[in-house]
Amino acid sequence: MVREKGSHLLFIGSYSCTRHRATERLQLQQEGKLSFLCLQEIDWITGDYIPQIEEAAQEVVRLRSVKKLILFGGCQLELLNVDLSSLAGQLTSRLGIPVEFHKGCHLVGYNSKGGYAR
Amino acid sequence: MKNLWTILPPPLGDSFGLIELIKNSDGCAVLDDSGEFRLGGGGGHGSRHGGGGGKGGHVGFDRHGDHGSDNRGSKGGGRSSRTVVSGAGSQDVTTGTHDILLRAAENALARFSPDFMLFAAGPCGAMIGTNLSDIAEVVSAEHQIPAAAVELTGQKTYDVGVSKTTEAMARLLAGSGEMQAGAINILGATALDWAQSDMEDAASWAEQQGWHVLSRPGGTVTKAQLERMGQAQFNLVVTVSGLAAARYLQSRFGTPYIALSPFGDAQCGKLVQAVDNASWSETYARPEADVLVIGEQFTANAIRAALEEKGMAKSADAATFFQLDKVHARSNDLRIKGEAHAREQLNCGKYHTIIADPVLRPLLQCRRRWIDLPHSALNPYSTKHSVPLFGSKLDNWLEQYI
Repeated sequence: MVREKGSHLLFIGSYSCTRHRATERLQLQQEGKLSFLCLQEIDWITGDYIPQIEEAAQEVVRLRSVKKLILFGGCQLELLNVDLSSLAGQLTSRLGIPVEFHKGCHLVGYNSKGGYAR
Repeated sequence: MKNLWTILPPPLGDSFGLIELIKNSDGCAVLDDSGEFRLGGGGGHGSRHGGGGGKGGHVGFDRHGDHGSDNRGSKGGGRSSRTVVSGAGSQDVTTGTHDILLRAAENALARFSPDFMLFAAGPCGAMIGTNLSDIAEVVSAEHQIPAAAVELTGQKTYDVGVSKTTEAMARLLAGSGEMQAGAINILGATALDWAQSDMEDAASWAEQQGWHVLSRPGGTVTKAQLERMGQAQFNLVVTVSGLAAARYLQSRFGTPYIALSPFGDAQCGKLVQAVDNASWSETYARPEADVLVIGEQFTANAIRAALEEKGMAKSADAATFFQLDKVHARSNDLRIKGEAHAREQLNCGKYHTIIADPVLRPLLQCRRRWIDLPHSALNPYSTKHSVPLFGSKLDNWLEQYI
């Protein structure tokens, strides 16, 4: 998914989530292909995670010269049943680049067959 | 934006504070979460190990260099994490994780024969919200083992995990007993903040002062030692993560504590003096700082004290990505709220020298003297270990640079 030049992953979850399959994740971050939005309990409870995802997407696109942004996340998005596909559509219009939501990552941040979003 | 990490790796989550303490003990932990964790660094790219298989007993927590451990460790720690995960999945959102937690606990009991047990939620378990105190009570009653819940969510940083786990151990196990003259607990020292050799040096140095170390959670520690925590004459708190347990022990047993990192000969001298005088207070001269030290709060304080004492800097500001206890901070010390805030501080023009983990260096956009202070909890990419700083090692280390 990030082999294409300018593609970038934005992981949405919490600090401990970022260590699920961390070897791969941290390597992707070092290559400049992955950023993390680490939210707190209060953000999930109050719904503040939506504006934070929007702000993070804008910031990542600005800082990393991103041409295509792929959102994916940890269990919180699954449990809250967040409609990130719709949000991705809005961000596509606003940011002027393709923004997608990768839903292959279930509770542990990768799919049940051990596949990883790349 | 405070929660966004584009260049820096996100700091370790609180779950890892618990794992760091439990792996060196004769207890074990059950983490209510969906799957295994990795810290990156060395080891096979994409490898998965840990075994356990099936729900209610996945195991798989590794730190640098621990890859390949089978987590079937013998009593007392070693390379085992002594932690199992419940393996919560999508369907457990509706059914809850009660049953799989009990299965995980049985699995852990069979594998580790622990002398006590802690339960905590990871990010997934925290969202599901199973009452872990209830689970601990059931396990405690059924298996006649001390058990308690630690209030973690996987959403805070490792230092909160160390704080809350140390306090939970004290609450669960510390019993009353007659105070022993010269007996101490060393609170807050873990390999996430300190070089391994510093942990050993601190304990030997304390014994050389004529003090007897009852327990040091974070190093090798047993239930029997933790049960005697309440008998200490005073507690030595060496990182900010030890404060919560020290304050609890003070409220329950009246045990006073001294909060000071024994890095630098001068700091060690102050510590001995504080014990002799049975009190501790620091007077601060506050010239404008020209050095910024970023690290664990008490370590940064100790480096500042050494810089000032030796005239190596007018003064220094201490900054941390983790807990900043106001009682032990100067007015200009700060908690760094994320990557953007770190960039702002590093480039603010106030400091001629920065002492910090090298992972922060790409954020520096101007010419400044930079001294590496590796901090493994902040930088999982690094293979560099923390610099040994105990006693005169800090002074020698600084003299190389300044």
